[in-house]
Amino acid sequence: MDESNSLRQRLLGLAHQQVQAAHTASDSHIIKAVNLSDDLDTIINLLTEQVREWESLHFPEFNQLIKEHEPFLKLLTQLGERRQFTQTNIEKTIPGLAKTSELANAAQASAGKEASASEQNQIQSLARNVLALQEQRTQLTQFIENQMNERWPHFSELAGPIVAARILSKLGSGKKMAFCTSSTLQVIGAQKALFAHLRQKAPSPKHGFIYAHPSVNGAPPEERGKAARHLAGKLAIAAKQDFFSRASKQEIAEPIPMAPPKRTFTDSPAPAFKREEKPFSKPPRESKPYEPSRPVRSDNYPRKPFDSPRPYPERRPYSSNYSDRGPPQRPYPDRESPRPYHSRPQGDRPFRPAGDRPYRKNLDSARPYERRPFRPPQEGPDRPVRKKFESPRPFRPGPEGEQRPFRSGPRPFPSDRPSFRGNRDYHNRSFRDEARVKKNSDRPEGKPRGPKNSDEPPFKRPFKKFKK
Amino acid sequence: MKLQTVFPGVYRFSSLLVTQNLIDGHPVYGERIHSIDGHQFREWIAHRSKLGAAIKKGLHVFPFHSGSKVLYLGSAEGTTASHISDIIGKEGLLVGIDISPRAMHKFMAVCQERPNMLPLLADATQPDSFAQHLQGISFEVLFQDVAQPNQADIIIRNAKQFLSPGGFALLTIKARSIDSAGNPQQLIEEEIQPLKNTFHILQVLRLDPYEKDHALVALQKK
Repeated sequence: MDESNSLRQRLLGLAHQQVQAAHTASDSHIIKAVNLSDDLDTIINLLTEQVREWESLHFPEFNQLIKEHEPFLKLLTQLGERRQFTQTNIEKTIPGLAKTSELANAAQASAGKEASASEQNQIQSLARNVLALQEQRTQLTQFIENQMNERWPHFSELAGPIVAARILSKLGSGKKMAFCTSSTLQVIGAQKALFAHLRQKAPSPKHGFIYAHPSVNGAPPEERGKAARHLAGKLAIAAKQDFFSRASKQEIAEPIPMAPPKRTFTDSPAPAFKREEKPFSKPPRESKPYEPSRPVRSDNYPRKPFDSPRPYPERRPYSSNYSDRGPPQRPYPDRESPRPYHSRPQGDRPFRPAGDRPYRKNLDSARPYERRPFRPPQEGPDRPVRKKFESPRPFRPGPEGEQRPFRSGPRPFPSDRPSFRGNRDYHNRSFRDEARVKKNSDRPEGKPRGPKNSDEPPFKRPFKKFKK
Repeated sequence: MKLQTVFPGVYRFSSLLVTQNLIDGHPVYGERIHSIDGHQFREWIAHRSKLGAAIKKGLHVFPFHSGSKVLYLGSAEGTTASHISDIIGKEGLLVGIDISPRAMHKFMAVCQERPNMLPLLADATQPDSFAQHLQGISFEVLFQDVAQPNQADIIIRNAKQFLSPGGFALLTIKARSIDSAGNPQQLIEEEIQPLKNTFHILQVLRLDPYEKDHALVALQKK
């Protein structure tokens, strides 16, 4: 029991001493100062917005004219009420202000309401607090700089005290920073990009916090990676130097010199190296007039009269069927894609001749023969011919002996089953299938669908006519 | 509502995991305290404690009992350690080791209150550095919860030095500490391989959804 008691006392005392020593040696106060400065920025912005909005109830022109926060707050704390905003008063408070006369005039004829004493009190005290916070923020920056110059002289001289403090706070302790590799120092601050890269979703980041260094952000974009890498290498050495020796700046002979850049960045854009002029292996192509590589359906094609149902001939290359406006934009990308329901024809549409209607309306139509007949593109002064569309599909002779672009296999035949969500087969069919259907059926062309004699029911189940 | 015993010292109280409070009236990390039949029970929150998560996921190796001696590597602020100290009671001993001074500061406050907990600010990867303080104590259970890439090495070295033969070890593996961008299951399996020489592997549990990409391995020293 005594043994265990003494052990307990010993260990408790030891832990106490160790924690104290650790706190003394750490850089926690710098890390806390960095975090506080970030938070203060947020808070100051938030409160300044509040002050502006509240003051604009009483003096909206003041908020609109003076966009900088410091003169705004200063005038508010010193003058306060709208009545006090005279030319002389403003000039006394802030001598070189740009819009003094406008402000004074606006104060006379303001659209805001008259502020009571207690309201004015509130606004002014808030403004005073914001100014105090701003003062603290500047003092905090000074504190960080002093501490970093004292504890990490080489590191802060090389990177700048604020960047050095940020790196230190991110890593968590000076020891970690001293044992860091230069590649870590290079990208610290860009964690999101780094882990995206490690998961193979993105290229590697070139710089993190050290982007704030003038040698990195002053470099042209293609040199930034190199500058970041060089700087990070020197920073790693500086961190080790500061951690292990902690000698003051005066004792070391001279700071680590940065290698001079290989080119002066203030020059006009001249290439760092000359590209060898290699001759082209082939001569440039001459422009040839448009010549279709395969027989193109032309006006010679035997066409049936437009009011008889006929299979749509074949899939044509995109360019040849569209006007000079080009292929259709969404939602009608191509003829094979299922058309949206709202474009289904509602009942029987009267037939109208194809003529020169715009292609869009034609493509909507249910009846294939209403679509625009093929015409080869005609060149003219205002009609440049689009270049030939190269179909990615191989050309193979079709059943009719003509060359047409085919998909890699026979297309699936639309099923005979009715689909419950509208007639998908109607939308997904191709026109060759329709041709096949029409060929295979024993219905004579031209005759409407229906029973052959009156004994049969008016329609056969499954009823394929689409409904609204 | 009835109190069901899950393990000796660990109870289930209508879907909550609870342990009986060693020192009445003092919560350790802001957990709720329930008074049942005149006794105080502290809630064991699974998403804050890996051992609690393992029990909820079905751990069946539970070497803690009244009076056992436990070495806890990576005790941090003492959330799980306090529950273990409830279980081992006043006769048991728990030595909590952590490397962070800030966490140790809070852990010391817990140790002041509880007579069976002792603090030690040391690096668990160097067992020789703190072996002198733990001379003469043979530990029956080793619980490790450090987030380091070489977790298997650490437990082997500490077990060789401090764990009595036949003693149990519970190791928490955090896959993201080993490799921040790899398949967690693979990393866990690779980490368990070198343990087979020193330990019998009794159970491997994934701690999802309480802890993402973590596993708890129950071992017994050969």
